[in-house]
Amino acid sequence: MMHRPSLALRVAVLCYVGALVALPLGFVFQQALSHGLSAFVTALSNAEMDSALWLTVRVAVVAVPLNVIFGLGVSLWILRRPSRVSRVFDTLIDLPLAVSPIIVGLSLELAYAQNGWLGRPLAAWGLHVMFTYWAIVVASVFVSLPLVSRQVIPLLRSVGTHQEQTAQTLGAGPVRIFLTVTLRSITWAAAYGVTLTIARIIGEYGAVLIVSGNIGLRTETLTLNISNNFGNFTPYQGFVGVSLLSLVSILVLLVLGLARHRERLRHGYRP
Amino acid sequence: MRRYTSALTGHGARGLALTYLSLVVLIPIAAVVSHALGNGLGSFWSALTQPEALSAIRLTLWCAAGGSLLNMVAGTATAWVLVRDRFPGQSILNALIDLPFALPTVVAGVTFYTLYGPHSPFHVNVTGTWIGITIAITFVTLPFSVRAVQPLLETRTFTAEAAAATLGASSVRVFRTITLPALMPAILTGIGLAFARALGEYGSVVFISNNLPYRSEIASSYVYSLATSGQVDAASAVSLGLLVMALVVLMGINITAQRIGRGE
Amino acid sequence: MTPPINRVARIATLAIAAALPLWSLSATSGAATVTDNVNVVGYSVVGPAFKALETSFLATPAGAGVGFTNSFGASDTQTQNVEAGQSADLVNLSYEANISSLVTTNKVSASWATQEATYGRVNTALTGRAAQTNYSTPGIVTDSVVVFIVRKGNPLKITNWSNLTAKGVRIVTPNPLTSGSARWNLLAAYSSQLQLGKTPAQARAYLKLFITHTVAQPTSGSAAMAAFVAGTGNVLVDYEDDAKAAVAAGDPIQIVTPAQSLLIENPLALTNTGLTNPGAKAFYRYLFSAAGQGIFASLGYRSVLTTIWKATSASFVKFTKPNSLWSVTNINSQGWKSVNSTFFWPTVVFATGSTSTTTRGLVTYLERFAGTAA
Repeated sequence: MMHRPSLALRVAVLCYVGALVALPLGFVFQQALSHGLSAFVTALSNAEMDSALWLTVRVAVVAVPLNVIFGLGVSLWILRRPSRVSRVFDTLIDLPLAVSPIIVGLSLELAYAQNGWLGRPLAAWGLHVMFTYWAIVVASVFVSLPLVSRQVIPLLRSVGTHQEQTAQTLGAGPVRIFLTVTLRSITWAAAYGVTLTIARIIGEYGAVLIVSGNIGLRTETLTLNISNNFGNFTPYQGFVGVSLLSLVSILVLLVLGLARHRERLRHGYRP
Repeated sequence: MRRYTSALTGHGARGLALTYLSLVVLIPIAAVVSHALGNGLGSFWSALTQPEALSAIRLTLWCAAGGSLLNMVAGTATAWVLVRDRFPGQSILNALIDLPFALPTVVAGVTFYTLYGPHSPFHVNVTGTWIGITIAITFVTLPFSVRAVQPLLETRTFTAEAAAATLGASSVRVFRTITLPALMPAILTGIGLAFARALGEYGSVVFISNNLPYRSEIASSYVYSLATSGQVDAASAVSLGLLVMALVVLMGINITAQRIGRGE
Repeated sequence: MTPPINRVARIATLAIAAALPLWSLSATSGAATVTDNVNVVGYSVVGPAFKALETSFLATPAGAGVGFTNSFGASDTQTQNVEAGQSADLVNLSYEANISSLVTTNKVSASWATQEATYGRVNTALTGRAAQTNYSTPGIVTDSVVVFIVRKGNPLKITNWSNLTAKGVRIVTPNPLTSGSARWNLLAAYSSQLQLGKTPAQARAYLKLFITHTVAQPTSGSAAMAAFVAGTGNVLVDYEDDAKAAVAAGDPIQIVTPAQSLLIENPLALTNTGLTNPGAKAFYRYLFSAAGQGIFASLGYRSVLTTIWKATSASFVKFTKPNSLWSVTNINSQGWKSVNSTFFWPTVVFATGSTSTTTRGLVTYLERFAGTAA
């Protein structure tokens, strides 16, 4: 059996990750609480921050389910009904991973501005997308598009269709098969993907910066609120927002860790 | 089986998926390509080779490469320690690796600026330098390199290494000649993803770089100032250039990783 | 044991059912009924001023039933957003060429400068000369000047433009591509040399040195102020009103007004949609009225209303010699139309037959060779 990694290596890795990752995280909370707990709570009830919080939640409530349904559906299509079209789809949905958020914002502005390819017909019907809530939703969907399917596809592929076929021969309808068999086999991978999607959407900055217009109390997300505070003589308020998002990130980390752990357990029991 | 899959992935559903993808991704990206090339290849090339564009792209490439390579070494070492070692608090370390995935970029950016900028508690000031930019990029790309290698290490049975050890090879030699080549495809994939991400990174880098043209301006920041000052064609041209670069890197890494994998 | 998916589904349903009433509660959080919504789009620095102005306007009878939606940011970015479809009834931008750009794209009417006479004039009985003496340039709602901001105590003893290009001086000024403040600053730097009697070639050389000493280019005026206060650089070039606001906010800085400066004029216009909005017109009038101008003056802006200026001028630095406060028309009689392309054109155009005399894009050209200050 090979030796364990040397103590030196372990210490080096701990120092590296500690300095790079843990230190900034700790610093954030130190800054946010530097004026005491009551000041923190007061800052939380600031009007712009509340509006930014609710906007972020409202965006996530629409964008996350959209991408989850899309991600699950596309995964099934690519694996259970492969064709040339589905292979092209497979490559295309990974595109957002290679696109900078600024380019995302630019592309949406070009398409949805009043004289854009999509913006013009929409404007003729009286629908405005750019600089509204819907622009933020579309941007959020763009940047998180592949996150669910990337987790689900490898797992679905290795699970195979055996269980679904069995269920079908036993007489179960398609919806029932999907809910009780397919979803069950990918629960934790799907949870991992959904959590990453939520984290990505809540934390999007570059794309939202361009498409939202940064309209106070209307299209100012929590990330925009943070950067506005740093630009408006109120850095403490900014750090309060930063710590809120960091808390959410830690929650996300816990769920991700749990999902990964449960997924590994399942794999362990696989024949 | 056909009844099941066709119920869930029938023509209607597929059409819906295609419309969804088009409205959100395909048409907007097509708009960028159209604005980039719409005035002819000459205009596209001239926008891409503007001195400020070249300077920004060069800086971004260097810092992205630096951060990705640093994480190639550090990420592999971290994955090694996570899989092969046992110590208290290991699960916390494992969870921390995902933090750059979970943390909003603006949070990282603002924090790094406060930690390593003019009011740094450590009295280091790396704003406007490639060092500051590379630190931010290293943070953001850490999970890519670790998570690319970790699953492979977890499922690996170290029989070849054990055999080499019984034959008298030192740990370092075993690692270098047996483990590392086996991990190379995964390591390369990790670097590829990290590099592509680093090319377009904005929120975590923009605060600590000072956006000085020709000095500390990164590519995404340059595109941003073009895009928000009415020069959308030039912005689209540089964006297209960056997209092509990212895709070329990803494809190149994929092919190389497959070749090495096949050679095993 | 219930399958995990059913458990998840149950919890999710409960969570959503619990959240919805909370959400609806927050959505209707005590706003007064708004019958007329006014969309205000402004440059970055003027945000806090509008907050004060809107609050006091809403307390007047003309403000009954009016609601405001505000968006503030770098001036050129805001202009572009309005052109791309962002709703705007009232625009207060950094410099006149921003409005001209909106005229070209049919967002604002070409006769925007006459709106002041139609909707803003305090005393509509005044005509001719009497009318002209009450206000400065038509369409301009606030004036200011370019000043330096240094650390408290002025450790580097900065007093004039030539100090800015001394060894060790690190200038903070915004990005001229996106920010109006940046353009005012660079024009002020250039014109300061002409005001001192130098030739245009010497002024260009100075401008190049100025750019060399710049160590940060944030996207907007307020972003530049934030960067400076956070510790970047040792001198910030900015609007006088932004500087006064920072001092009032208690930041450890002080203002240095150079002997030569440039008159900043910020235009205000009702857009084509704003012309049909009674609340927008009422607010436009308020901004030009004694009450509105008084609030501007108390926040550090130089009022354009003669009566208010006379009452508040004691708190502003006077420029005594005739060539100590220039306006854009002193640099080029065509004003912003010509100055904007000469200095800030994004691509460089040289005079025919020459390889070094730029006719367009001077700043773009100089930035290429600025390098870093020794």
